[in-house]
Amino acid sequence: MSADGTTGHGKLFRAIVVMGAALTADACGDSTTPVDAAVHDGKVADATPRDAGKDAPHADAAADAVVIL
Amino acid sequence: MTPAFAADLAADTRDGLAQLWHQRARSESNVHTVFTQLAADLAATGAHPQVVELARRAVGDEARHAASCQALALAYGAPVDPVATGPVRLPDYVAEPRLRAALHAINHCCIGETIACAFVASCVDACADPALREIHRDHLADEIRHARVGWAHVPTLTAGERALVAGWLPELLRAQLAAWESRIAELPEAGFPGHGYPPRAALLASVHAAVTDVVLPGFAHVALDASAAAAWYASTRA
Repeated sequence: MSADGTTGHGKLFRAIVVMGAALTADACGDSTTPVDAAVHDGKVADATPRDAGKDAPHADAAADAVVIL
Repeated sequence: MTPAFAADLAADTRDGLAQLWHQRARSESNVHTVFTQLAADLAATGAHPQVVELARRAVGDEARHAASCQALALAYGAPVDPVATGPVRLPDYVAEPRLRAALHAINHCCIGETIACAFVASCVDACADPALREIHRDHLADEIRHARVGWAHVPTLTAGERALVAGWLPELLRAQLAAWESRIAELPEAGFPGHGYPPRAALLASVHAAVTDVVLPGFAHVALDASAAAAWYASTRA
């Protein structure tokens, strides 16, 4: 598929990559990210700030990757 | 009260789903731990406020996911068994804190959580019951935000940092694919159609579609040279 997300998982590409990169476009002078073209899919709206992560527990067992399933 | 999607099931189906969701609750707890580490590391190394905010929110999301997965396990009849949180962390690939945090964000979010989005999307499609589908859709919405942590962070890296992390992409992609493939191999081959677990082959296909359709094009979108990772991946699929 093309990087513009027009085929395959194009909807996910726009919702994840395009919208994600657009969040920090102000910090890197990137004015090319097409935010308006990104997917706003109901529940896939932008996050509301919330102070969720505090007092990180220390963990010692390294894993190359941790997956959700 | 047993929800409709968990009622009137054959005993082996019910037991199988209970075990899957209990395992999933443990996995989500581990992801919660990893996000806790990542959020702290990003904040400590001066990441963009939006990135830190998203990562901190993910910490709470993953705790909620673990609880909802455990609730599903109980709905399918699993014995009450508190979810154990494993002492897990991502490898310290490098000593330099900012580069290490970037590698963790790329590993866990650009690759892992992006694959998770495609995985959960396939689970949504495999739900016959609207209430069960809604649970998976909630998870999908969260996973999309979690993946954005990485895709939002990469554009803030300097050109020098991007060059350094590019060299790690083949290893990060290898590690993530190994983790997903080994876990999927443990799932029932036929899955549980209608109950949010497609057959193994469909889940594997969703993982690889995420790599080819989102992860690798995504690196190009954020100007990260993934040519070595793409070449490695192509070699494994030949």
